[in-house]
Amino acid sequence: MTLFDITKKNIKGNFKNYLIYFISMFMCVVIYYTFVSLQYSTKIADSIESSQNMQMIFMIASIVLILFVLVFIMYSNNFFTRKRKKEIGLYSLLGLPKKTIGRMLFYENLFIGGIVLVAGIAIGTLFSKMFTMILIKLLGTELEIGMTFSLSALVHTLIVFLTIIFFTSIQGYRLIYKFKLIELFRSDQEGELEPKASIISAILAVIFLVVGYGFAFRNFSTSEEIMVNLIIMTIGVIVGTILLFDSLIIVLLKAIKKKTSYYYKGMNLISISNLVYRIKGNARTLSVITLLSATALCAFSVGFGMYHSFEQSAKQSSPFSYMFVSQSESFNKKIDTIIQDDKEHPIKAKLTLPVIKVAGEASSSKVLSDRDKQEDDKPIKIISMKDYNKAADVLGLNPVQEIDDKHAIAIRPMYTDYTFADVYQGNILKVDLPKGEDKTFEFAGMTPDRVINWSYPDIMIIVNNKMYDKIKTQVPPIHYMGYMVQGQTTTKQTANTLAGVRTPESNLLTFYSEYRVGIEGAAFNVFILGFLGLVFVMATGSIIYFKQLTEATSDKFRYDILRKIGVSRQAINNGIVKQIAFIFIVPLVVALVHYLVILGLLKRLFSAMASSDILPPILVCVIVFVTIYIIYYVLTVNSISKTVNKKSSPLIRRVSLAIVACIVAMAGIFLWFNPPTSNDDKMTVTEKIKLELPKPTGKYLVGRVDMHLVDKKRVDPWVKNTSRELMISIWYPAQQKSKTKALYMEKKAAKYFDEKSISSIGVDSGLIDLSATATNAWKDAPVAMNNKKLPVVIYSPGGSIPRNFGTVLVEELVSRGYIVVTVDHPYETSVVEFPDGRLVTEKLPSVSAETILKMMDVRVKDIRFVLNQLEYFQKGNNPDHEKRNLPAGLNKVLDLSRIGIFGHSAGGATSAQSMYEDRRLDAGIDMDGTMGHVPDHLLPVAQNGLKSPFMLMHVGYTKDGKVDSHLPNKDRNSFWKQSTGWKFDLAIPKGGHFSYTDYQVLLPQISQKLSVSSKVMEKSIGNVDSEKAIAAQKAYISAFFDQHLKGISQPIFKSPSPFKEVDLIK
Amino acid sequence: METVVKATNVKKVYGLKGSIYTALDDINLTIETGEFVGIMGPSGSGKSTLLNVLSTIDHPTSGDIFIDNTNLAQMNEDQLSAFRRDKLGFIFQDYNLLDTLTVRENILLPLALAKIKARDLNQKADKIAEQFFIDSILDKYPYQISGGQKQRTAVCRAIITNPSLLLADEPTGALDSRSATDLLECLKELNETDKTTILMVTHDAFAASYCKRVLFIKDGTIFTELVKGNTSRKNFFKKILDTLSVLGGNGNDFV
Repeated sequence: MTLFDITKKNIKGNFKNYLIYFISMFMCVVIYYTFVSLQYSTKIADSIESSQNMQMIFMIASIVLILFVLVFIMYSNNFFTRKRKKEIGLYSLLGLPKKTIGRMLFYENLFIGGIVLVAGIAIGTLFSKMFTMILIKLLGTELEIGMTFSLSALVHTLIVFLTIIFFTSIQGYRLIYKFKLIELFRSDQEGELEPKASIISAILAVIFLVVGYGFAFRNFSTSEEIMVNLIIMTIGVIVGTILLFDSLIIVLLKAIKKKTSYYYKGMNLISISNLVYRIKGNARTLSVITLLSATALCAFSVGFGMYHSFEQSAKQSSPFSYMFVSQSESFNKKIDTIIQDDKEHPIKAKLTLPVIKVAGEASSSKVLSDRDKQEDDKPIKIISMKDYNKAADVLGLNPVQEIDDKHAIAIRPMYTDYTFADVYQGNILKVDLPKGEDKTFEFAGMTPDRVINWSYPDIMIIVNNKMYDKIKTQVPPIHYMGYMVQGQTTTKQTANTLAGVRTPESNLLTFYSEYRVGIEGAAFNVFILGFLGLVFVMATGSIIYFKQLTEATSDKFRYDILRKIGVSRQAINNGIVKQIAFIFIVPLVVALVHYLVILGLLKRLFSAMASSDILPPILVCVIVFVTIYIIYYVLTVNSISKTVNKKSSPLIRRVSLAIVACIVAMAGIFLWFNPPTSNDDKMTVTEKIKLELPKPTGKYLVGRVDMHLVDKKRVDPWVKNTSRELMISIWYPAQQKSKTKALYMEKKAAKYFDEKSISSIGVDSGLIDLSATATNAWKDAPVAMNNKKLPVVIYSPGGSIPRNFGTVLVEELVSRGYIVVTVDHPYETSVVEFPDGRLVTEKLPSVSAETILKMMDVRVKDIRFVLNQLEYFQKGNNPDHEKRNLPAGLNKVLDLSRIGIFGHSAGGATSAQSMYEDRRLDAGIDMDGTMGHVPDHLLPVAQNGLKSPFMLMHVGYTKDGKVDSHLPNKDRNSFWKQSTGWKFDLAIPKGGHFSYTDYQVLLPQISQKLSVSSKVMEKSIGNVDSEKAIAAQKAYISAFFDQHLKGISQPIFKSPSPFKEVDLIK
Repeated sequence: METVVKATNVKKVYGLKGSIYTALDDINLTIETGEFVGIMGPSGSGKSTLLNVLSTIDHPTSGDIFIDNTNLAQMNEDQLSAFRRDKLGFIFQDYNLLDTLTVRENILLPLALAKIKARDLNQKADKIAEQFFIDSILDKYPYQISGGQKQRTAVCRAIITNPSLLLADEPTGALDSRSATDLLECLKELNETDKTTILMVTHDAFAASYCKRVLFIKDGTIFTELVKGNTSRKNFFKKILDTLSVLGGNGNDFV
């Protein structure tokens, strides 16, 4: 008989012991592999990378999981070998050499490990698929998560477990050397002492929990108080929980023991005395399980709250699946046909809502502000009660109650948290009617539920039907056409088709477009958090299962005694059922209580979670959680009952059969519904959307050459292991066209940008070909030589925005006789492509004052380096790192005695600070950029100002409804006061932060072809007329450089603005 | 006098076709109230099987067993459990005490399991413990007391329900001679004063000499029977030894 035979026989003979060990290892592999395959799923990996919180959560999760796996396997291995000490002792006694026994144990362990790994990974693959399916079904979104079999996940799991298995195998090998023979025989007789529990710890447990809970409920107003609450709550809950299991429960159980009328009753005697041992022995495990469960539930709820708030806000801004303002009959018909043609989303309801728009006055500026009146000469929308309630019925909202002629009900404007008491109560709204008889309404109530598309200004009231009819005789209503369709979260195709026919007047909005923005990210977070939650619940369930099972095997003889002295199987089973229930229920209940308390605090922290609509999903996740525990409970009871009675009771057998059937059925359903297909179907067929830039207005053709600069004297401050290198473009007036247009963006960079950044505006990647955007620049075109030197202007883009997004303004300046140099700031810009095809992507540390100030420092050094290289170039050298040919004579037209600089956002601040540090720069413009990390970390230029000419450009309004300018901003206000040179401040109030980039022309083009959320449009470029906004920018920027670099005085700075889109700040 | 145990033609066969082993062959046995019966026999003679069958832990292949005029064959599993609990008391060689319970709780266990009102359970335990001189260790745990004390605890547990029949399986097997004598005196006392019916399996002739009647089993049948009558315990002991030597087998089995 060879050693291998003995090993094989051992495994056969000890099958039961092996099985427990096997199962525990197997569960570890399944859980770990499931987790790792989540981590390696590319899409998820990306989304983790983009969020610091997720990174943290994942890091902590993986540490906890590895610890769990390690401890769990060590524990079960320990238990397993202890069970077998006698057997090993016997071999030794029979004269088998220690070395042989050791080798035998080693092989055995390897053998089991191998089988476990294969089986675990196979089942793990199925599990991860199943979890994915469950979660996606729960979320109900079109999440595409490529959770397929991943080779790297496999390798990762293999490495971790082979290491662990190897280690435990060595442990087995060493076992025989570590013990004396006599110890090997005695191992099973080590008696347990009766657990002691101190009353003091029990009281402390109560105190910690009460204090922790108390701080969870304590009110807070400052962020410091929030921190204090969080910290004390966390400590209280953690320490309280540990003491609870370590002492409090034991003390309570012992108190029950004193109550003899209960204690001396049937199996109570056995169960309770057993529990005292069990709980005490497992105190640490149980507290960890409790805390992990509570944390998992909280994390999932927060994720869901966020997710839900996205959906809610989409419902607020676009209550109907599709809605537009009725136009000509043919237009309405066209839209109706498009919606009808979408057979996958049948129409549930179709509604026409007449709304009257009028002018008026309010007794409070919160109800109706001056800005509202400026924005629209008829800012007030009136809807009749009948129509509102009709819409409310379709949308599943609460109807409003009848009111009289003198009263109106307000509909809360979006993006506000107005309450009736704070804003409307006691206020009066006067409505102007053209034929006189102005109506005055007092507010009788407010509803937060909107029924028409959001548009600015957002003032809407409900009046009773009689009053509405009266007003109607004077002002004809406009008609909002609303459609509700089935499955409105997936109407991408139709939304895009509709975008193609939309007109600005129709104000056509689709729910999908609003919903799409951000929902994917939020859904990912919920998915990941949910997945982690499930993995942890599974892990904790496995721990209890395994521990109870191992303890039951050692308790077996107790049950034998009971059977001998006349306790029926039934009674023993009942005892086990009760006893195990206690062990499962206590952590479950404590975890749920913790969860509810913490949730209370979180609700007050995140308003998104306060909504009552979030209750059902939270309930679902609690139910899922409890269900998984119940499954584990049934499994545990079943296994124990099997061990103790040598057969399972029929009920338990049936339940476990049912569970297995459920799991199999679920897997089946999953495979049936989601046959493995690739996701890239339709996209490749459709032609990509091409965008175009407007023609510049000046007389020159535009030429462009790209240059790769390397600053050998500077180590890159963001990555440290290489010299700082930059990509710049020089744009210059061209003599004639060259063979090819310059690409808007290099191809690889455009692809990357499309994949990573375009989704942030709610548009799918792969639809737009950015690099093919029609520019007006000719690549490497011959330089216009008319013996005139031209002033140079540097352009610095905003944070993370590639340099090409300033092309519209750059081309304009060039066409008017400037040489413009645009500069990328690598590692800070989302993507930069170098001539060798390398992509350098964003690698900034987390945002802090330190990061921002360092970023500014790097940017200024970049600009100064570019200036040096331009001087080097002017002298006839080639600064390009690859020494590529540069257009002949370009160096000769550079006039480096007149240099201006402008930039958007961070680039604007860069302009100002570069001027402050480098006298070669003569004039500059900051387009909506903060000068430093406000409020307390101002850049030196903001503290000390400039002597040279400088122009500030702003957009939008402040919180108080005033036009934004240097005045309300601490940094620019200081800059303004300290600056002694020529200075000018203007604003485009209706614009957005990105109005000063190419987005101002690109986004409206995209929204003509694809459905883009109105919210995204509003936030990025406001609702200013695109062409006029660009015209105004071109005029002011050209005028500024004309005056300060070319020395031509500009009347535009001395008169009121000729553009009604522009406000001048005095 | 009433009959407590009545076994007729009890047969126990192990194994399936091919290798059949007959452990008990046509056993007929009657035990009256207040008797103290010993069962002796060499290893493999079937004495433990007989005890298991009588104590309802095992089922006979054929034949009938009546305890308190109840036919065991007609009871189902649950009824048997209840029967064991209410009518029988057990003492085992290895005590079989639960180490998570105190001595008092171990003694009370059968009453608790029978869900008897807890009010006077403690007094009952005190009284019975006093009788067996373990009242001072009532609140200790089994691992804190000696073997003799453990076995006396087991006796207390066995008799607290006032069983019709007390079954003892080698009760002195794990005890030193002093503790063994103490225990046997206790059992004798119990039998004489409380009229408890006791059936004791033993291979120790000294222990058997405390019985009123001893049955000898060989190869699954009752070989002979000795009745103590009015003889002294010493003489009865000698008689037993004589019988054992007649019984044959290896004499070493019976010391």
